[in-house]
Amino acid sequence: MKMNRRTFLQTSALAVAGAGLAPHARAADAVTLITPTADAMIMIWLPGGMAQTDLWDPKEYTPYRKGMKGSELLGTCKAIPTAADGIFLGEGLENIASAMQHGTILRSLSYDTRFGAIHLKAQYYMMTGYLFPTGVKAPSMGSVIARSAGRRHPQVPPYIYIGRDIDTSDEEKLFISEYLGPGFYGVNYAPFMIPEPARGLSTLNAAAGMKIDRLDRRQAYLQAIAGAAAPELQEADKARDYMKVMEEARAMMDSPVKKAFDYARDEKPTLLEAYRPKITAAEQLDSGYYNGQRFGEGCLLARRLVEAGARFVQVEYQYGPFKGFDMHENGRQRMIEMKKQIDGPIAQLVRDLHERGLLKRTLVCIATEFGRTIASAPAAGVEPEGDAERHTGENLIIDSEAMYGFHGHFSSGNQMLFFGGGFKSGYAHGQTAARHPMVPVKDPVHLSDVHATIYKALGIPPDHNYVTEGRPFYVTNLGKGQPIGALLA
Amino acid sequence: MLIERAARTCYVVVVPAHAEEYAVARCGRASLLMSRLRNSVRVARRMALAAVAGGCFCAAAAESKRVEIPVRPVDLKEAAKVSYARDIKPLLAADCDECHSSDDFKGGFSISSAATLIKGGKKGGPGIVPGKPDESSIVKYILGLADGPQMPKGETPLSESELHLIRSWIAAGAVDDSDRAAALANTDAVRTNAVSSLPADAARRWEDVLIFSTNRDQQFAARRALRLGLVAPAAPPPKVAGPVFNEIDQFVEARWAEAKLPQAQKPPPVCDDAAFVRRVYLDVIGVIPSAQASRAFAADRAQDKRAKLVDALLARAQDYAAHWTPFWEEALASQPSMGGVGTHGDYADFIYKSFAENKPFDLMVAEILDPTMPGYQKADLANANGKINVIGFVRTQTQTDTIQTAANTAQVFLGTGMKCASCHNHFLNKEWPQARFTAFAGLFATNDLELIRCEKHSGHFVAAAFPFDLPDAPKQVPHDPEQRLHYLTTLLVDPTNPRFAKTIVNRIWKRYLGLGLFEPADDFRLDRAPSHPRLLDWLADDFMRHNYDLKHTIRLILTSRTYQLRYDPALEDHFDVQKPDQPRYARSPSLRRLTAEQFTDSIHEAAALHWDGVRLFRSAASTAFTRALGRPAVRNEVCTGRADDVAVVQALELLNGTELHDLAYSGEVLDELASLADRKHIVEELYWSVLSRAPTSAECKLGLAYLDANAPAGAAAKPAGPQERADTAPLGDMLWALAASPEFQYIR
Repeated sequence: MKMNRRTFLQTSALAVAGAGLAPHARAADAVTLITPTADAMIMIWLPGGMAQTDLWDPKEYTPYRKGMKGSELLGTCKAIPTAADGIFLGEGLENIASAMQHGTILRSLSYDTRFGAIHLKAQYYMMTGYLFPTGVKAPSMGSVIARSAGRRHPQVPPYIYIGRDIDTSDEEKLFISEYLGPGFYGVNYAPFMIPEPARGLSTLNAAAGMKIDRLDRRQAYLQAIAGAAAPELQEADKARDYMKVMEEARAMMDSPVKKAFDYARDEKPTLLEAYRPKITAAEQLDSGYYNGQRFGEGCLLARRLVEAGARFVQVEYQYGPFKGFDMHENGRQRMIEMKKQIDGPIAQLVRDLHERGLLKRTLVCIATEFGRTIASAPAAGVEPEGDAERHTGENLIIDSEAMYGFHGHFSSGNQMLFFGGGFKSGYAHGQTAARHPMVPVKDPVHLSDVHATIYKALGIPPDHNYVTEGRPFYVTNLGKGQPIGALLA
Repeated sequence: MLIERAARTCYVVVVPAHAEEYAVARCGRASLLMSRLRNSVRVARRMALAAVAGGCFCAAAAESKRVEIPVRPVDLKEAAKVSYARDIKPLLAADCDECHSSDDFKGGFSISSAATLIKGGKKGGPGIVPGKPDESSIVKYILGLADGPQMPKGETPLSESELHLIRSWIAAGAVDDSDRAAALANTDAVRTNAVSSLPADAARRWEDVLIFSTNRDQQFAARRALRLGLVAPAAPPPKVAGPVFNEIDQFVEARWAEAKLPQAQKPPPVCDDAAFVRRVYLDVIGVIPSAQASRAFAADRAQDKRAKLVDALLARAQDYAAHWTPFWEEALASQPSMGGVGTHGDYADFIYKSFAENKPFDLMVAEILDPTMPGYQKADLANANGKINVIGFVRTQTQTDTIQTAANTAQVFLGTGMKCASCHNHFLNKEWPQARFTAFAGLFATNDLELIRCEKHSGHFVAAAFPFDLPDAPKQVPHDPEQRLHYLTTLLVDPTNPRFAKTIVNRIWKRYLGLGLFEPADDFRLDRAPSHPRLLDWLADDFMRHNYDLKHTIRLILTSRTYQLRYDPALEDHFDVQKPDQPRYARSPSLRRLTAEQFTDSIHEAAALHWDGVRLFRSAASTAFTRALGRPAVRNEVCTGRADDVAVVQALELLNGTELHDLAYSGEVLDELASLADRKHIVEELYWSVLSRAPTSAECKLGLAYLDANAPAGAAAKPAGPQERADTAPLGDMLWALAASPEFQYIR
C-alpha cells in the first residue's frame, strides 16, 4: 500500500503500531512497500568536501603558472578514460576508472541552501535529508534503511558504522555522532559502531580479557538471580524483554558478524594488498594524521559484513577540519594524496562484489557533503551567500603553488557515485559548466530526489514515515522526494 | 517554616501554614534576609488578600486614616551600607516624584537631590536632620505624625522595610553619594519592597503592575498574586473511605470507586521499605542509597520515616538539582557551541542553580524567555570563525527560527504540539489552525508573520496574538521586540493560562509515576481527557497557589499513598496512542528504566568507586556506553523525554562493554568484600550495596554457589584475566550480575 500525506490519516495507525512494538517483534516494523532492487547498501562517506573537478568531473588540465588567474584554473590533473565509454575521471583514479562500467556518476547535484563555512550542517543535510536544526531529532540514512527494510539476518545488526572514533568530548565529533544516529527512532536503530576494523573483533570478544566460559557462567548467574527476583519483576513485560535482549546480545557475540572480522586470516594477501592505500602515513602532508589503512580495511570489512547479512554499512574516511578532503591550501598535492588513499579500496570493493555476484543486489554509494570551487581566501573557506555561484575567477590571482587548487566550499555543485543495486551501469547524469562557476548546466537534481532514488532501490517509498510528537516524519525531506528514473537501470 | 537558601543570589521561599501567606523575596544580602523576609510575607499576604477580594489594593490606604508603619531600631553597621544614589533616590522617586519633583514641588518640598531633602518644605522644619531620623520631618510625614496628611498623600503608605531604609540612611548621616552612582551601579541594591507602594487602585489594571515598581522580580511576584485572584479555586478533593496519605490519594481512590474497581474496597498495598528507599532516592537525587542508608532506613521504626526521608532528600539541594539538570538541558536543547553549529546556547549552569535554589518555576521560565527580566539567561556562542553570537532559547533570525522557537515553547511549556500547524492546519488536532499558530509565533518575531502554507507565500499577515483568551489581559501587542517577548512571557506564565501550570505538574507526575495524567505529555488537547481531570486541576491550582514551588508539588506526590503503592504488573497503567481513552487508574506505578545518569552514578555508589560526587551529567564526553543507554551526544533539538527502549547495541555494552566492566570490577567494595571471612556476609553485603536490601534465602544460596564454583576457598588462585585479581574477580562478576539484573535496571 502506498502511503502519502493524504492517506496518512487513515494509515497512521500502522506506523504508530510499528513504533510501539516490543523489541523482539521489531522485524514487523519494517514495511516493504515497493519492490527493492537492492538488498543491502554500502555508503562510502568521504566528508570534508571533495573537489569534484579533480575526481569525478575533470575539466581542462591547467598547470600551475605563477600569477595565473582563477578563471584560468580549471583542473589540477589530466582526465583519464574509463571502462565506460565517454566517461572520464581525474588522473589518479585508475582503479575506479577500470570499474566504471558498473557505475553511475551523478554530476549535477545542487543545493538551494548555501552552507558557507559550515561543513557540519551540510553533512547533516546529506545524511538526514533535512536542514539543521530540524525541530525533530532526524534519523540518518542508515537508521532509515535499518528500520524500514529491517534486518537481513536475525543476528546481524542492520546498521553498522565503520571508521569513526566515537568516545569523545570534542564538539564537532559529538555533533557528527548525533546525525549518524537514529534520531527519534531510538536506540534500536542506532548504528553498531566499529571505530577501527583491525580492533573490531574485540567488540565481540569478551571484554578485558575475560574468558568466554567465565562470561557465560556470569551470564548464567544473572539469569538465575533474575529468576529468583520478586514475582512482580519476573512478570513485567519490560523486564522480560530486557532479559531477552541480553541473551540476543550474547548470541551476537557468536554470530556471523564475528566471522566477518576475521579478514586478515581468511583473505588472500594479494586481496588484502588491494585494499591498502598507496601512500604511507609518513608520506602525507599531514604526516601525523589518519592514514587510509583504516578506511581500506573498512571497505573490505563492509563487503564481508554484507556477505554476513548486514543491511546497511557505512564506511567513513574520517573527517577532520582542515584535514583530508577538507583542503584549504595545497589543493593539488592533497588531491593526489587522497586519491592514493581511496582509489584502490573503493575499486576493489566494487570488483569483489561483482565477482561474487553481489553487486547486482548491493548498492554502493560514494558521497561527500559539498563540492569545491576556486576561492580567494583559501584558509577560511568562507563562501558568502551566492558568491561562489557568481565567481568567474577573473579577479583572482594564484601567486603560489599552495593557492593552486580548489579550496572554496561549493554548495551548488556536488557529485555522487553509485554502483550496483539497480542503478545504471556506465552512465553519467547531468553536466556542469566548463568554466567557473562550474554549476550544473544540465539536469540539476535535488538531494531529496537522490535520497528518494536510493530509498526506492531499497524498497522504501519517499513518503514513508514514522510518527513522532503526533505527526509523521518522512524518510525524504517532507516526503517530497521523487526518484530519479534516469539513474536507475 | 522551611527555608531554602542558595549561595549567591538568594531566593527565599517561605512556606507558612496558610496558603495566602506565601511569598517570594529576592535578596542580595544575607544579612538583611530575615527582616526582609518578615516584611515580604506581610506584604504578600496583604496583596493576596486584596487579590482574593477582587483584584485590587483598595483595602490599604484611606486619606483620613493614619496607617501604622512598624518602626524598627536601626543597626548602624547595616545602615552604613545604604546608599542614597542606589537605594534612597529610586525609592523616593517612585513614591514621591509625582508631587515633589523639581518640576512641581508641592509645599515647597522637592526630592530631586539630597540637598533639597535636607532643606525640607515650607512647614515642618528641615526634611532631614542627619543622624536623627525621628526628628526629620520626612519621616514624620511618612508615618502620618506630621501636621498634614500621611505621605504619600492618598497612596498606599510606605512599607516597613522602605521606612527602615530611609531611617537607616538618615541615621548613618544622610550622605549624598551621587558622585559614586556609576560605581554603585554594579553592586547589589539594598532593595526596596516597591510592591507596597503601588497606588491604591493602580494594580487593578494589568498594565499598571508593569509600570509601578522598579524591581522586576517583585513586580513579577506581585502580578502573580494579583492574577491568582482571578482564578477560581479548584474543586476540593472528594471524600473517600479508603486509606489516604494526602489529597492526591482522595482523587485517585475516588476514581476507583467511580469505576467500581475492586481496589476501592480493597486498596492495593504500599511498597515495602526496600522498594521505597531505592525508588525515592533515585527519583529525588538520581542515585541509589548507600548500603548504610538503606540499612538505617530499614531499621528506623518511626511512623513518619518515609515523609522524613522525602524531606531530607529534597533538602539535598545540589543532588536534587543534579538529577533535574539533564531533563531540562534536553528540554531547552541546551548545548555549548558545537563547532559553530549550536542552536540554543548553554543553560546548564542556569538550570542547575535554579533547581538548587528551588526558584519558582514561572520565574525560571520568565528568565529563559523574557529579555526584560533581571535574571534573563542567554549564552554566548562562538561560531566557526570565532564570531560570538548571543543566542538563547528564543531564536528569531529567520522566520524558520521564529516558527521553531514558537513550536518549541508550546511543546515544552504548554505541553502542546504545534509543529504540524507551522506549515498547514494541524490535520490531527483541530484546535490548531495554522493561523492560530502563526499568531502565536508572531509574538516571538519583531513583526506580524506571514502565513506560509507548505512553503507557499500567501501574502496574508496574521496579527500576533496569544492563543488563549485570558481574562483582563491586554490585547495590544507591543512593537518593541523585547517588550513583545515580555508580553508573551507574562501571558504564558499567567495563572489564568489554562496550560502552563498543568503542563509542569503533569511532567512532574509523569517523572515519578511513569505516565502523565495526560499523555502524551507534549500533546495536551481538548479532545482527549486527562486520566484524572480533577486531580490535574487541583494539582495545578495548588502548585500556583504555592507560588510555583516545584518542591512543594514534588513533596506532595512523593508523600502520597499513590506514589508509594507497590509495583504490580497486573495493575500497571499503559498508554497506547491508538487507544488514548483507555482509562488509567494509578493503582500501581510504572516500571521505569534508569537513565544513563542514574545508572552510571548508581554503579559508582554501589561499587564504592572514588568519584568525589562528580556525576555523569557534568561530563561533556559521549561514549558508546552513555549513548547506548540513551544519553544524547548533543542536544540540538528540544526533547522532553527519553525512550526507554532496550536494544541489542545497548545490551552488548552492558554485557561486554569495557566501560561497565571497568566500573564493576574496580570499586573498593570488592576489596571490602574480599576481606570478609564469612561468605554469607559477602552475599549479604553485595545485595545491600547494589539492590539496597538483604538477599532472600534462595538468593543467598545462588550467591554462595557462585562463589564456591568460581572462587573455591583455599584453592590456588589463578588470575582471572590480565588485570584482575583472582580473589575479587568473582565478586566483580556477582556485582556485575546484580547491576545488570532487571531489579537494578528498573525502578519498581
